[in-house]
Formats: sequence, C-alpha cells, structure tokens
Amino acid sequence: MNSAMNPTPMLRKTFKLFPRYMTLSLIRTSEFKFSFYSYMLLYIVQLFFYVFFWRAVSPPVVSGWTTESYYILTGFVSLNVALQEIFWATGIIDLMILRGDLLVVLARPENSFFGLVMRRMGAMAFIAAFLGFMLIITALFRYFDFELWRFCCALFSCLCGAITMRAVLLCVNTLSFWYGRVTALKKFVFGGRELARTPLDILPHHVASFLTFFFPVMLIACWPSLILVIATPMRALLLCFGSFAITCLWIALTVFLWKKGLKRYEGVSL
Amino acid sequence: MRKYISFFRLELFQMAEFKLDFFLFWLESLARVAVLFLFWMKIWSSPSGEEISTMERPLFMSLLLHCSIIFLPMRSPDKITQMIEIPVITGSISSTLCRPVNPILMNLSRILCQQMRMLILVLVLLFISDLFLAKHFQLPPPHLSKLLNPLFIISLLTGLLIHNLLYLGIGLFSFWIGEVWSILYALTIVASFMSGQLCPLGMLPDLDFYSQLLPFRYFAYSAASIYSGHGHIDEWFKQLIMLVLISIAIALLYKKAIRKFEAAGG
Repeated sequence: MNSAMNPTPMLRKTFKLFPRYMTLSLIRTSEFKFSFYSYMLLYIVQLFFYVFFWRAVSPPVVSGWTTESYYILTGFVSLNVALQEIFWATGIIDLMILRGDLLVVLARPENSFFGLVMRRMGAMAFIAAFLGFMLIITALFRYFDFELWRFCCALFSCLCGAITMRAVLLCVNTLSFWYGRVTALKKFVFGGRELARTPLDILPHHVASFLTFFFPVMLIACWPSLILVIATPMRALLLCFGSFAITCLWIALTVFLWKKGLKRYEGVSL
Repeated sequence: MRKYISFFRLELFQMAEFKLDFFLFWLESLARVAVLFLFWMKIWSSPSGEEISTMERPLFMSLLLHCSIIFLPMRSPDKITQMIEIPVITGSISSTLCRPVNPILMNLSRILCQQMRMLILVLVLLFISDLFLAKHFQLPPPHLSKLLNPLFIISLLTGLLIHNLLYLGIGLFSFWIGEVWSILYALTIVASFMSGQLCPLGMLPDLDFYSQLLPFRYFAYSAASIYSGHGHIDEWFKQLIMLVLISIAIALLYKKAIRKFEAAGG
C-alpha cells in the first residue's frame, strides 16, 4: 500500500489537508445552534463543578498539592481532553477495519494513518481547550508565581499527554486487525481517563508507576500540574523530558502495530 | 406483567455474549473506586487531614467505599438514555408505539435485568469491602444479616428505579431536540458531585442539604448510608417521595412527547 511504502510525501499531503478537515469539522458540529450551545453548556458545567468541588472540600496539603493546584489540575484535564478531541479523534478506526472500509482510505494519496485520524477531528472542543487554558492562566496569576519556562514545559507535557493517550487508543484500535471487535478495551481506555482528575502522584508508588508507563494517565494533567506549580526546577525538567520519552515510546509502539496490522490486512483482503 | 418478564429474559441471553466487555467494565470501575479510595486515604492520613470533615474517619471511609460500590451498576447512564433517544431519532419508535407496550416500562425492565446481575456482584464486593474496613478502620466485621437487611435491599432497588427512570426521562427530550447527549453529560457531571461518589455528602453540610432536593443523592448514597448504619428509614421515605415525583414527571413528559410525535405525523 502507498502509505506504508513511502510515508513522508503522504504525510505532507495530509498536513496540507489539515485546515480543510478542521473547517469541515467546525461546520459539521455547528450546523445547529443548539449543538453549539450544548457544547458550551457541557464544558462550562464540567469546569464549574470541579472547581466548586475542590473549593468546597479544600483538601489539606499533601505532597505539595494545595487547593489552588487542584484548579490547575482541573484546567489541564480539560485542556488535554480537548486536545485529544480536536486532533486525534480515532473512535471508529476499529469499525472501519472490521467492515473492510479501510481500502477507501488506503487508495487515497495521503498517509492512511494520519488521514484516518484527522478526518474525525472534533474542532468544537476548542471551547473546552480555551476554557481549560483560561482556568490555568487565572489560577496561575492569582495564586502562584508565573515562570515562563515552567509554563512552556507544562504545556509541552500536556501536549505529550494528549498524544500519548491517543497513541494508547490507537494501539487498542489497531488490535482489531487481529481480534476484531475491541469496543470493550476502548471503553476501558476512555473510562480510565477519568482517573486523571485526582493527583495520581500521591498514590502508592507501584500504582503511580503503572499509571505512568502502562496506562499513562499520569501525563494527562498530573505531570503538567507538577511541572507548573509544585515540582522543583530540576524535577520539573525531568518530568518534561520523561513525558517526551514516554510519548516517543508509545508512538513507536503504535506505528509498529499499525504497520504490522496493515500488512496483515493487505494479506487477507487484497 | 408477563410480557415485561420476557423482555427481561431476552436481555439476559444477549448479555452473556459479551464476557470480555463485562470483565473490563468491572476492572475499570473497580480501578476508579480503588484510586478514589486511595486518594482519600492519603488525604486523611496527612497531619491536617482530620480537619477536613466533621465526620468520623471510619464512617467517612465506609460511606465513600460503599457508595462507590453501589454506584457500579449505574455507570452507563448513556446506554439507558439511548434506549429512547436512538429509536426517536431514527423513527423506529413508531413500531414500538404501535404495540400494546409502554416503551418506558419496556426499557426499564430490560435495564433492571442488566443491573440485577451486577447487584449480586455488588453484594459480594460490599462484603469484601467490609472485611477490608474491619481490618484497617476497626469497624465491626461483615455479617450476612447486614447485607440482607430488607431496608437496605429495598433502598438499593428504589435507588436503581430512580436512576433508570431519570435517565429514561432524559431520553424523552429527544422528541423535541433530537440528540440529548449534552444534557445527559452535563447532568452526569452534576450527578457525580451530588450523588456522593466523589466524597460523602455528610462531609459538607451545605451540599448535604441541597442534595436532598435533587434526585442524585437517592441513586446510591441513601442505600450506602443505610448499609453503613448512618441512615435510617426516613432516608428511604425521602427516596420513595423522589421516586413518586420522578414517575409523575415522566408520565406527564411521555404524554406530551407522544402528543408532539403524533402532531408531527409519526
């Protein structure tokens, strides 16, 4: 198949198509006014209630986590999940594999992998990203000292977290080349993302390690929050580098699985 | 009544097909309960942890754990809403309406069947959690009489009915607005705070008061408080009142929805 043989030009072509995919996604999701307002309502309710909750509970300081840092955590969850929705909505790849619809995508002059991923982008999640970002900024200027390098590192780590979580989901989707229906596993990954709403680094060491490497929800909001407001400069840099390393590992695994799966798909159906 | 029992039985056969789905659902749900519990354990064990609540630590922990466990069968409200929403959007609700069955009651019986199977596991988990709590918080050891307390069982079932009826009722809104996912998810978020899943409601007196006016508290928290010995029969009475109110509201909503559907030519 074309994309597996020479991926670079295809990749360039796919990224050229990026603005078009985004426009299409925006048009699709804002076709009805009600849809737009309901998106707004959902995201605002979500942020408001989590902030209200942490404010009402105001848990005591544990491992450097103050009530204000929980606001930052909430902001990062919103930002991260929104980034996942915008750029890497991969919900139906497994179904396409199951139905054999992948051929339509493979025949097109674009990278099949990224083409599939981007076609389903959810541009409306920009609202959630914006709200999350505003919450982070507000909490940061109000309760903490702003340091640009920390801010940049935290955003980078958050982006790495979004990519990693989507890589995990893509791995799961790719498994349908071998195992067919993977709905249960997908739901498991989606549901597991909710764990990120609590500061996971205060959990026992073995649980935290598992949630860092094998099911990397730690990268969604916990590490970016640590980098931004809690960790020492040295630890913040280490966490930033760690996020990047874990992301690279997961991307490598995803691409490896995708290529293997695609070969299998070609062997079976072409 | 017999026709609804047959829906119950049909659903039971269908469910047996998805064993992996079932296993992973429980794994993920239990992981969430465990992480939440570990989080609050850590908070409590901090030097200033005792200050965060007027509740005693063993009661706090048992309520948190029991509520999270009882909530497990109610973890997929979207599936419940979709039972009404999808047929309305696709128009296939017409065929159901032609039959001498009420779609709300039909779907309610199906959902209850799915949840009954989970309830057995919930009871087992409650027993195990009691063993754990007895070891770590000096609470009395688990006893079967506590699990089979009629008030607890009735409260558990009432909670399930309130939950299912509420989310089926949200599905009815699709007669007016089509997709209802945003209302559903916004409500799910409110429910996660007001239902005592994230922290026991008794921890915050204001939240405790306002939660009595909303249906979410009665999903699982009432049953958990009765099970933990914190709540009594008055808690169940409140549940019953809420169930009656929701049933009336849904009956009215259903009537209006059907009238609208008929006017639109369905």
